[in-house]
Amino acid sequence: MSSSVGPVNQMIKLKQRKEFTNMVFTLIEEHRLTELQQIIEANDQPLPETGVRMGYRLYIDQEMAFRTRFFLIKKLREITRIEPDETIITLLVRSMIQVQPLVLFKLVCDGLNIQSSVIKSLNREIQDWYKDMIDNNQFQQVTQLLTITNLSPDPVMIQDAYKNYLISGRLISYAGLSKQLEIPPTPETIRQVYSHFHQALAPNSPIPAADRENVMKWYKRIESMTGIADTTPLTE
Amino acid sequence: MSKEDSLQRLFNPRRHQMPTLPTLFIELQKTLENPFCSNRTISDLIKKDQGMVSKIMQLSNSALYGKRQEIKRIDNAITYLGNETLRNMVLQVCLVRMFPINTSLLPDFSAQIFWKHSLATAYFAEQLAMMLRLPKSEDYYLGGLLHDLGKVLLFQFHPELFEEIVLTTIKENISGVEAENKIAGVDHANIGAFLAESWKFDNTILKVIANHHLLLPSKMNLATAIVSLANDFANICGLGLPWDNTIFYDITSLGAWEWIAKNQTLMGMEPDALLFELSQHVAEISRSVDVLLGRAGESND
Repeated sequence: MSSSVGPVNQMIKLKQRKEFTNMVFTLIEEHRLTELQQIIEANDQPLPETGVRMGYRLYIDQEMAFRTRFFLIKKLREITRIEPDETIITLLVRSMIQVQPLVLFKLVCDGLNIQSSVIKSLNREIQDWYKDMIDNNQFQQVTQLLTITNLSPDPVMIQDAYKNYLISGRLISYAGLSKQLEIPPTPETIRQVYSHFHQALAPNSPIPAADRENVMKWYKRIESMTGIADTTPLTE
Repeated sequence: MSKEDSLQRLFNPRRHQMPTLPTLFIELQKTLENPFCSNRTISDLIKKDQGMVSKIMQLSNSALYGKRQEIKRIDNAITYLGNETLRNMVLQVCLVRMFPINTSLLPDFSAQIFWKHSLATAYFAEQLAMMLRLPKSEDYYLGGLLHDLGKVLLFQFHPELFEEIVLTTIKENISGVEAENKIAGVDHANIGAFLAESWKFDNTILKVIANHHLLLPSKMNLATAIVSLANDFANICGLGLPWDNTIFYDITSLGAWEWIAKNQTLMGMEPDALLFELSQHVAEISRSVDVLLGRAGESND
């Protein structure tokens, strides 16, 4: 008698387990996470890890607003205590870089406790983001992205930014970025900047006379505002 | 020197050059005050300025104003927008025309940057007021739109001073308001209130402009707290002026948030969810500024 009870009980347990797994996945699929939380709290069965992981994948693949996706993944992580795979996190973060405001990137990083390995794997996208910020004079944001990611912007990009800022008269952006990053311009950057002004103000320059006044104005202000001297000053 | 003296020193010699509100806006305000005015009267008034008609049509059809189907006629736009939103929109177009920010004076400061911040603050203030279920949420939009007017007036009249303030902000790592008081003896909030007073805006708006950085309990009221919070949200969402020392705040520690939480039912507003909710409109705000500046279709800078 006892020998037949064992397999029956096992079958019942297996059936219950299967039902529980199906129910968990259905609730995840239908975004009914509050109910899922109640069921987990009321049930002593171990959570079906594969089902939860499939849920994360589903949330990445389903079409929905970014914030809905983020809050679903965050909530699922909180109630199941099963960490999503790095691939899922990478896909989530990649989908938001440059599209969402930086503050949301921070919220996502903090909310999901994103590891530095994930951030490092997105270095290329983050460098593009830096470039975008620098082009748009958002030097405060550059420092904030650096603080969040701990990934420095490419030094060549920084020197190019200094050069472009100084050439185009964006001296505030130059002052802001160099102060924030505490990286000085290299002698080569300074040489290139002044070389630009020498060429632009040379007698054979194609720049119209009216525009040259503006060029001269910025040329004269660079030294006074940045302390960077022209080693071979212009002769007017 | 007192702030009043500094204001007189900066603006009195050129008082005759101070910008005045356009006749169209003044007439529109008068017309809207009449509860019996018809849409026809309003549209006849606006049609006197075809440039204005075109901007209203473009803005009414933008995602920021939540249009569901294309609005093809100015009469329909007037009905769809309602009196207060129409007034705000007309003022917005007037202000952009009145303060053409000349980038050759300061290439780091553009109309795009300034109006994105003002529009974001206005929009966020209106949204916050709606979430808190406050009546006349459009008035909070107006406060947000005008809150930084002092900056643009200072730039227009004293660009060198403006630049010195910005550089001081960066070099000494202090707030813009501190640098303004140090260099000009007065800050943009006082300057903005001074201009708005000359334009005869009501006392609530004057208080919002004058106190949006001054978070003293004695100076605080709901409109000021909401516009101040909207200003913080705009900065946090990356729509501040580039040199403003914006850091990622814990929203609940912001003075304005604390004041609202203490004096008003938050209607279930959660800081993170709120940030997500508001920041999803950043792209729409940028597009609206492009429309205002006649740059629609160009790439954003």
